[in-house]
Amino acid sequence: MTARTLFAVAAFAALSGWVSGQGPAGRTADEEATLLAKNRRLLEGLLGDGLKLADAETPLDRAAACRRAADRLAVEMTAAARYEDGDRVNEIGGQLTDLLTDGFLPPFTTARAEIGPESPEFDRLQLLRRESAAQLAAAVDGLPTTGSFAARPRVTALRRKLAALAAQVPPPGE
Amino acid sequence: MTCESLRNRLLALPSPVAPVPELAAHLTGCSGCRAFAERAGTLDALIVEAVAWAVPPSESAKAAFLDSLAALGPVIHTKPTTADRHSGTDRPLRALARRVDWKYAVGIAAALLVAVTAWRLWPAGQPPLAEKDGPRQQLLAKQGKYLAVLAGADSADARLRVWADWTTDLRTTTADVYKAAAPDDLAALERMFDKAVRDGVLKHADRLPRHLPAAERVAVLRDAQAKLAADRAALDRLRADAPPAFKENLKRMADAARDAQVKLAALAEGV
Repeated sequence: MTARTLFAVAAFAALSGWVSGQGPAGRTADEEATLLAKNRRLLEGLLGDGLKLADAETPLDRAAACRRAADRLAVEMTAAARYEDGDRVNEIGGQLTDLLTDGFLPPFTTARAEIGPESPEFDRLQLLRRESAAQLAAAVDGLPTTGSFAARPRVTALRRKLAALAAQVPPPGE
Repeated sequence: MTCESLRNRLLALPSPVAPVPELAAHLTGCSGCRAFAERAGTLDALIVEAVAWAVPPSESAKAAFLDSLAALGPVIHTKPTTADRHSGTDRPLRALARRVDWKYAVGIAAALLVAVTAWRLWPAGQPPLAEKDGPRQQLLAKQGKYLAVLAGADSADARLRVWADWTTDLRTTTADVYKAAAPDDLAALERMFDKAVRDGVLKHADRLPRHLPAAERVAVLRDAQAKLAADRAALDRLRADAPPAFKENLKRMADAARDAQVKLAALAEGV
């Protein structure tokens, strides 16, 4: 084997090592560590929400557990909006709408259909409706309506999506 | 070959009227050079006659006379150039550059610059270019998905599968950051991993319903067990080249995975 071939093999091995050392999407360990530091509290909170959600047995319990996780995301999104951090608003806002659509609404809709005024769970359902409606209204209000940040297409789309979700979760009496 | 260089070479020949084939080709197509060759031939003959009249004819006398003519200065006053594919385009460009009125050219360029700047700054009716996503942490995105799945999971085996995957994602994230994370952040990952294993995987493995068919129950448990075995092996590997401060964190995580692996195996065998 010639020196040239040996050099080519060594260079390829070094390149392979470097590529395999990269994180997701080619990020370095430093970049991944920065993301972890930024998200740590949110990750821990959502894991706790997940454990409670996994313990929930009824649709009402599951909807309530999802609401708490959604609340955590909504607070994070609103904070990002205050700093006009568009990318963070998009990231967390997208997760919030996904969780509300796929996680909260199905058990919530089931609970509303199953629990009538005569049910011992009715008061809890009404409480959940009030809390959820207030939470969604706050999330919509947390996104600005004036200024250049509000005019960004993604922010506008997110506000519209959240408002549509809020319309599906009316407070009791509506 | 240019006329100047041909004439110079012609004078260097023993007889200008008997050119070599290379020069003859040029002479055939160039009347000016042909006339020059004839004049040179005539001059050559006159020199021979004059020298013969004064001194005996000799090649050395002819050479001395030609040298005296050459001493007056070179026939070629400009450096001859050879035809070159690359430099051949220089001449038309130079000619064009000489013809262009640079005042107008600069004016047109300035007008274009103003037009492009105005176009960029003018409020557009179209939506702006798509906003680009910044770096996103995969674990955060996946946790959101797991929550949605858990909200719809109404059985212990479905939840067990989610927690086994969640545990693996925590281990993968650990592998991504263990060389660069802050100690608090790695400690948080360890806490999350431990909770996911004990309160997620093991708790829901214990809750698998008795009415679940045995084969299905074993398959679910073995699947979770295999994932935890992979987690443990990966964590042991990471520990080998981890910074000293993180070796203990990784060891505890690997131990938690090993314990859970043993308990899951016992559950599967107890069926």
